[in-house]
Amino acid sequence: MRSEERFKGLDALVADRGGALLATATLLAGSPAAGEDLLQAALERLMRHWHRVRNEPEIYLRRTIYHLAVDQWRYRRRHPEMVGKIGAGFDVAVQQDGTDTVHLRLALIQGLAQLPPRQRAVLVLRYWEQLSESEAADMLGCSLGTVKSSASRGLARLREVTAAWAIEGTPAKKPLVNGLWS
Amino acid sequence: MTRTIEDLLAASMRDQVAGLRPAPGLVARAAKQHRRRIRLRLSAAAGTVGMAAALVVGLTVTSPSPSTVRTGSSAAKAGGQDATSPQARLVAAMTTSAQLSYQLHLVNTATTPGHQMTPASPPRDLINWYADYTGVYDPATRLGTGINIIRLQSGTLDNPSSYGKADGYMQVRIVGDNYYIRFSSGERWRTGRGTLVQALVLNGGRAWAPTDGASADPAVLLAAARHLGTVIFVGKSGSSIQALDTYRFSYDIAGDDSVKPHQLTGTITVHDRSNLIAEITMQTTVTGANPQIADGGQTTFKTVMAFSDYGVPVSVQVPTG
Repeated sequence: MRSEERFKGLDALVADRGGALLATATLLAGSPAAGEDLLQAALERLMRHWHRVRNEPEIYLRRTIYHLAVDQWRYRRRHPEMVGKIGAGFDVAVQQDGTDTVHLRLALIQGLAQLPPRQRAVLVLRYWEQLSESEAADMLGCSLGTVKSSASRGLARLREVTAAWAIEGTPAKKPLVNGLWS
Repeated sequence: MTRTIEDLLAASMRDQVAGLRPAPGLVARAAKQHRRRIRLRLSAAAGTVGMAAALVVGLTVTSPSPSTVRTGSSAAKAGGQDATSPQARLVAAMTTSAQLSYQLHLVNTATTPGHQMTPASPPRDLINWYADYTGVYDPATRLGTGINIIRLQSGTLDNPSSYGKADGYMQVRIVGDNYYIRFSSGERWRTGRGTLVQALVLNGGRAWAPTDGASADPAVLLAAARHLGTVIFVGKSGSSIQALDTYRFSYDIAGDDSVKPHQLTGTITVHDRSNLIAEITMQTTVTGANPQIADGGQTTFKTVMAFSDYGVPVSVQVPTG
């Protein structure tokens, strides 16, 4: 049977929801290219289990993206290029003009990419997908406590790496120049 | 303006992924990789044809009439073997067993050795496939039926021990050259042309076995058994009707464009009195020949097939709905 016939509806799903799925995968994987690799890996897994999940493919696809991302140690072995790409530091200094906000957001995204996979997944679920803690726990197949602690640690780490900017009413503590992630 | 880091993070995420669209052909590329993966698995499985075809050919073999069934040394002589050699005794046991109806309990696992969930986690085997099938089959009428328990192929980070936990089942019927399957989720029956093994491999049953379903001839069984390679009689256990003979075998498998050369090892246990096979175990570790694809790493296949209830009546009908 031709794959177009066997996986009927999958093209339409990707055409309709592919942008949102790729966005999630990109946030989890650290770059659009790595995100597309992750989405493709999830699609392959969906095809493998198509007979069982074809009635609700998007749910399965989304869950698989998160599970693959959390299982990053295995995934990264197949995509070693991700390590250097995400790990590269960059120079950031606090600017008192409009670029400050841009740099802050960039720093947050880079900080997100530096978090351990599960912390990153929890933050994406909570603040990108806007899921509750219990919904995030269900998606990742872990306990509510794990979600809470992962979110807390992840946010704490992001506060550290963005300490140079005044957030939540606190003044900037220090400028960061080089070694942002050290 | 005071903003929380949660708000800023959400805004940063929106900026980061604004306007992203998958590149054209993403589904086609995934389908291509999917087909390559299936081919690799089937290729790895087919590579074991020397031994494994002998095991599963009984699922498709056309039986001679009961009057022509020979057992023990007579069957071995019919196969042109020295009836006293371990290999000849195994040929005889396979020949006899493949001509009677039986119950089969088949457990397949395919694992990635030494997988680490995190860099700090201890290495452990990661289950990629898991098939747990119990059924009956009558080679004379070519009818069979059974249940494949679908098990989780991986655990969760919080509960790694959930590997292998039951997660639904798949009903299987074999009628002649066709199989029929239905999942416990309750959808309609699906059908295809092929053997039990193909039903499991191609429909998410995560089984591993060769797919030589077209070789529905007892001669294939004999020919395959002659490729057992090194066969060693390990010893006898039990007594009287419970007595069992155990053989150990190993068999080299040539590589191809999908997998590197590898070796299959296993044991076969035979009822001493009836010369019928009681259990077959085998395992092999394959390494993908192409490191550029995801299955380029090592995968270990393990199979346990337990045969019982020889002569059991088997009645199966084509499902409706």
